[in-house]
Parts: sequence; C-alpha cells; structure tokens
Amino acid sequence: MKETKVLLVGLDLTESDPLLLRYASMLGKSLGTIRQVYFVHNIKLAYESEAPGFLPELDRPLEEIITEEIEEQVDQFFKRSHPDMPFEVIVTNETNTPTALSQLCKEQEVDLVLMGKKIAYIGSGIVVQKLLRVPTLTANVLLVPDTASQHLQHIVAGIDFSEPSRRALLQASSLQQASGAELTLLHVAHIPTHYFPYIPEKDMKEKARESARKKYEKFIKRMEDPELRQKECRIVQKHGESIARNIYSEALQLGADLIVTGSIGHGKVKTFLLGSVTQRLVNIDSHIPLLVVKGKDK
Amino acid sequence: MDNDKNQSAEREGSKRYFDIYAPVFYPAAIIIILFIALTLTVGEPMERVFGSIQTGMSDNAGWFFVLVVNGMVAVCLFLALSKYGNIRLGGKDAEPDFSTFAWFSMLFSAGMGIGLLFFSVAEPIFHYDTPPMEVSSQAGAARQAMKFTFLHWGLHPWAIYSVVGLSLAFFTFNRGMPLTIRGVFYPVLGDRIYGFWGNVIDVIAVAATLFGLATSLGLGVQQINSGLDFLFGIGDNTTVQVILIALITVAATTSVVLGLDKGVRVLSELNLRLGLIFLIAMLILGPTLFLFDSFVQNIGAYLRDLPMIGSWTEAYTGTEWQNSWTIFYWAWWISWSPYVGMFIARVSRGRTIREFILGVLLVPSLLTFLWMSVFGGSALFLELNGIGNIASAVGDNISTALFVLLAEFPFSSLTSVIGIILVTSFFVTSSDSGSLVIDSITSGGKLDAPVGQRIFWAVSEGAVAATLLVGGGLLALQAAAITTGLPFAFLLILMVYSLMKGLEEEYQEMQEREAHRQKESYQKTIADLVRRRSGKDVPSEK
Repeated sequence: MKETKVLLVGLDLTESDPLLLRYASMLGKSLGTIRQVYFVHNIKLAYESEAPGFLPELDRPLEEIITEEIEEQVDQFFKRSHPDMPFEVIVTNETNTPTALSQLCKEQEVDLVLMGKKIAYIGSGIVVQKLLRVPTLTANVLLVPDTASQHLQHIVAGIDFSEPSRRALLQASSLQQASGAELTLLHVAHIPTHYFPYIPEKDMKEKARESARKKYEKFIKRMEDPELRQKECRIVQKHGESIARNIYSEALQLGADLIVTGSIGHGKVKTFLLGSVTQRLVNIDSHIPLLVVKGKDK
Repeated sequence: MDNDKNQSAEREGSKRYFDIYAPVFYPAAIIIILFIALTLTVGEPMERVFGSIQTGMSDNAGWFFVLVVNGMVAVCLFLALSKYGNIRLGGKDAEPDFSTFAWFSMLFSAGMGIGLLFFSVAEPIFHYDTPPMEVSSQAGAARQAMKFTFLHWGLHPWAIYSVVGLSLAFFTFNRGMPLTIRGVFYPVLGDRIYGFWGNVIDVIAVAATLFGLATSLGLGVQQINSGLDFLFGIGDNTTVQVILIALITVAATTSVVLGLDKGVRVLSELNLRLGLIFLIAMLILGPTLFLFDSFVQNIGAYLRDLPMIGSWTEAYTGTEWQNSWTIFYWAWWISWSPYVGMFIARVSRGRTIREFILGVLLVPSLLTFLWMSVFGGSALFLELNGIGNIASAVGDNISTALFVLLAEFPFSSLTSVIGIILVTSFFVTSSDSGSLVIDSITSGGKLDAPVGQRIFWAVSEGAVAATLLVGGGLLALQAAAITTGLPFAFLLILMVYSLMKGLEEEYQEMQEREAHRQKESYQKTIADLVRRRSGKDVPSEK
C-alpha cells in the first residue's frame, strides 16, 4: 500500500479546529511521509447573495477573511513543528461540501483526509457520512474526536478477513512502519448462540474461535509482507451490543490511539455502501480516532 | 324531554358552562331529537326501513367494505415500516401524556369494551352452530368459529381505528387543526373545512357517535339486567333497565366531570385490571390446558388464513351469511371509528407513528384474541363435550350467554358479580369517553370543553338509550348507526390520501428544519468570525 504523502485537513471554523490542527501536526511528525498539506474549508452558503442580511460588516470577499483566519491558526498550531512543510489554504464556496471535498481530493491526489468527529453532537456527522459514501472518493478518511490523544503509538486494525479488511490491514501496516507504532490485529468472533440452545456455549465458543483462527491463517497467508505474515490475531468473543462497540471497547482496553477499518468498495455500485460495522464505528461516541480505508487502489 | 333540556341549557349557556360551535351543535342536536321523536312515534316501520337500508347496503356494497377494511390493514403496516415511522405526534420534543399501561387501558376500554363481553361467548357459539364455510367435523366447525371471531375482532377493526386515530392525532397535534373529524380533510378540502362541508362531516360524526353509543349502552344494560336477574332474580324488564341506565349515567357523568386524567383514565385502568382478573379467573376455573392449547392454535390458524378469510366475499356460493356478520362488523367498526379514533387521538400525543400503529394494532388485538380464546373457547369446550346447553341459551337471549357459561364452572356467583361489575364499568368508560369526543366536536375542536357541556352530552346519551329502551327502536337506531358506515368508508379512503399527503409534507419539513438549524449555526459562526476579524483589522491599519 502506498505511503501517505498528501494530507487534506477539513476545517469547520469551530473550536475543534485547533485540536484538529494539533493532531495533524502530530501525525505529520510521527509518519514523516507527508509531503504536502491542504487546509480546506468550504463555505456552504451562497453568501454573496445573503451577506447583506447577516454580514453587514463584510467589506471584502469572505474567502479572504476565512483564509486569513485559517492561516493564523495554522501558524499557531501546525507550522511551528513543520516549518518547511509546503501547505496551502483552500477556501471553496460550493453548496455540497462532501462533493467539493472529494473533488479536491481527486485534483490534488490526496491520500488522507483528516476531519473532526464531534462527540454527542446530534446531526454533526452528516458531512462525514456523506463524504464516505461519495463513490469517487479514493482518499482514506481519518476521523478525529476532540478528545483524541495526541499520540500514535498503538494501532488496532479491525478485520473480518474480507477484501476491504485486507486493504485496511495493508494501510495499517504501512502506517505502523512509518510511525513505529505497535500494531494489533483484532477480530470479533460471533456465534449464533440462539440457534443452538442445546450445545453448551463453551463448546460453541471454542468452535467459533477455532473457525476464526483458520480463516485468519488463510487470510494472512496471502499477505506479501513476510513480517505481516508472522502476525498473530487477537480474537475476542462478541458479547452484548454490536461488533462495533466490541471493537471500540477492546481498543480502549488495549490503550490504542487509532482504529483502522475497511469500507466496502469493489465496484461502482458497492462503493455506495459503507460496511455496517464501519458505519456503526463512525456513529458511536468514541475518544479514539478512526481511519476508514477506502477500497479502490489508484 | 331532550328538547326541554336542550333549550334550558342554551338559555343559561355562558362560555363558562357551554362553549358550543353553533353550526355543528344545533344541527346535530336537532337531528338527534328529530330522529328519536320519529322512531318513537312511527315505531315498527322505522325499524323495517332502516333494516332494509342496512340489508341493501350489505347486499350491494359488501365487497367494497371488505376491500376498504383490508386496505386499512395494509396502510397500517406500510406506515409502521415506512420512513414516516419516526415522526412524533405533537412534534419532535413531545412527551407522552400517559404511561404506556394507562394508554393501552384506554385504547382497549374505548375500542371494544362492552361488545367484547357481549359477544365473546355468543359469537363463537353462533359460528359453531352455523358454520360460514363447509366443514366436515365438529372440531372443524369449532376451529372455524374461532377463526372468524378473530377476524371480526382482530387486526381489521384496530387498523380502521389506527388510521382514523392517527389522522386525527397528526392533524391536531402536528398541524394545529381543531380536534374534529373535519380537521383531517384539510389537505383535500382546504379552507372549505371551515365552511358547509366541514360542518356536514362533523354533524354526521356526532350523530353516528351518539347513536352508536346509545345502542351500545342499550345492549349493555340489557346484559347487566340479565346478569342481575340470573343471580338475584330481580326481574328482567325495562323498568329495571331504565333505573340501571340512570345509575350508570350518574357514574359516567361524574367521571366526565372529573375529566380525562382523573376520571376516564382511572376508570379505564381499573377496567383493565378487573378485566385481567376476570380473564385469569376464567382461565383457571375453565378448561385451562384446552384454553392455552387453543389460544396458540387459534392465532396460528388466524395468521395462516388471514388473506383467505379476510378477503372472502361468498362470491361463488351465493350465500348471505356474511351480511349479518362480517359486513355488519365492518360497517359497525367504521361507524364507530370517528368516536374511537378521536378518543385514541386525544390520548396519544407524544407517541411516534411507529409506536402508535404497533400499539393500537397489535396490543389490543392480542388481548382480544386471548379474551376470545378463553371465553369463547370455554363455551366451545362445553359444546364439544356435550356439557350444559349454551347453544340454546345463546339462541334464546344473547345477553345471558356469559352468565350461562359462568354457571357451568365453580364460584359462578362470584365470577358473575365480577362480570356484572365489568360490564358496568365498561359501560361507564364508553359513555364518558364518548361524551368527551362529542364535546370536542361540538365545541369546534377544543381539547377540554367546559364542564356544563360534558354533563349535557353524558346525560343525553343515557336519556337516548333509556327513551329507546322504553319506546322501542333500539334496533332501528343500531341499523341507522350502521348505515353511516358506508359514507364513512368513502371518507376513510379520502382520509388515507389526506394523511399520506400530510405526512410527506411533515417529513419534508423535518428535513428542511434540520438543514435550517445547521445553516443557522453555521451562519452564526461565520458572522462571529467576520466581526472578530474586521474588528482586528481596523486598529492594525491605523
């Protein structure tokens, strides 16, 4: 999997922006592969026609003001630790933010999009969800909660032995190599307990674990990287709630600071779908950043 | 007598005691008085006239009723599963007015009440005696009897109530329309609902409700009388019945005066608790295992054959069994629907549409199935085993059926007393919830009409029932109530259209509101930013 070279940071002009910039700065330091950064904001208003109403003080293009504001923040939170990193502030004015972002990703060959993930803030995840569903998006998306830790030391890759999982694992492994972080492979095994009430649950659990292990062996054998082929997979039993919650709570226990997961994406049609586990992970309140690896190679 | 009361009430009518909407109140009152006067003076011929209208309706429009009623079930299932399911009655932040148990109790008491006690023993026995479809064995006849009883009391009536109740609740709580039947037709009729046609719709609704209630109360009081006579031998005659009506009307009036929260709710909960005790007692005293067995099997058979018996129209046999049963019930439930629908709407603020449909459709249906399986099942058990003689008792006098059944089991005097209390309290809740509904319509859709008016309607229901008991004509009135089912069936179709239109608009608005909210917060962010930056720039330039 190719290295993460071009980074796009999506800013929304709220209090989360400094945190996101600080995280981007940390990420740039840990990975050391980033060559270009774009700081982007989309003005989702037809402000030119609406401005007289709610922006009476406006004396020059809004894009200019916002660019200034972002540059100031970049100076403060990002540039200090990356004095030589080439960057550009882009302010667009499009009605549809997800489309505008994915268009930009395509034009600038962006590898990774960084966006804020609001906790317990209803209705705030819409842009993220829509962006993940844009079929032409090729960049990976990293969602950073306001409460995320400013480290990259332990990566958890949630896998289910599918093709999207394989890509997610490759990406996780590439991040691990760049950053030197620890990498844990995690699978949540789930047994249809209710269908076999007469089989003791202990046996079933054993069987489910065994079958998951076999699948994992097959899955990991196909990896090219010899080091990766040696890796063990942590298999946990599904308990209560959803697989997504299990992944999250396991990652919390491991002290992970990044969860990597795949999104479904083979053909044109399937890219509309986001895996259900991934979708849940996107939606739950979480303090751990989540990297959604898009399916298509370029 | 009604006339006098009416006029004196008008004279003293201040807004404090009376808050009427004249274009509905007077025509409705006049129609009711005229109708009763006519029934009393003409007598027998009235019964024949309405009887033949009813027969003509069933003969020619039976298929239409069957179609419409099945359509209502389909509409309910669609709504519960659709994107509209999350719309909340009363707006996004509305909270339910009543606890779920109280809500179910009220739904159940208002919707079936007396009828359930009246028919739960008699109906399965009737179908067992005269099987609607050909059967080869007695067991087959019993199975079929329960299946048809379930059909008549199960999902279909509750689907009708759901559609009407939901339409009313939606247009009242989400659209600020008055809580009257006319309010529902706003998307179709526009401002005309405030004019002549709106008045016509409401007047029909008031008349149908009052006639329906009065007949139902008339039948109920006969059953109470039969029970009391059976137990204490006080005589089964109109004098006793009129006294009973008077007593019960006093109770209903008290409950109505106390209002929905103190009166009707408390009584309904009491009703349901007492009903459950009665049900459990029968379950234990009766053939317990048989009842459990048959409950499970009846539900399965009902679900399996629902499409078939639900759409059965006797097309190839040319028989007329259905006219006096299925079509009768469909017309009856439809003519009841403005009343039950309004009552359900009144108590359902704060529920989501999915909750509403599933609550109104499934819970009362299941409870009814259990009830029918226990009481009807016990009666069938006796018949199948040749114990007692319920069939002939039912043939003689339907009102005694329940007590004849109870007599075959232990502690019959105790259970009969509970039965009588239950019929009475169902009677009271039907009467008082009916009064609340008529109040609301005749006051132009107010949710809490003045006390004087509540008393007026509660008393007039009792008076109408008593008058008809004494003068005869209860059956004529029942036939008249049922004939309103046909025009209401057309209104139901219109209502579904109207509701769908309203829900789609609401859904769009919900989406827009959310988008608007986000836009506003974004605008604020931008405005703050611009203000801050322009403030910063000015001093730096100087």
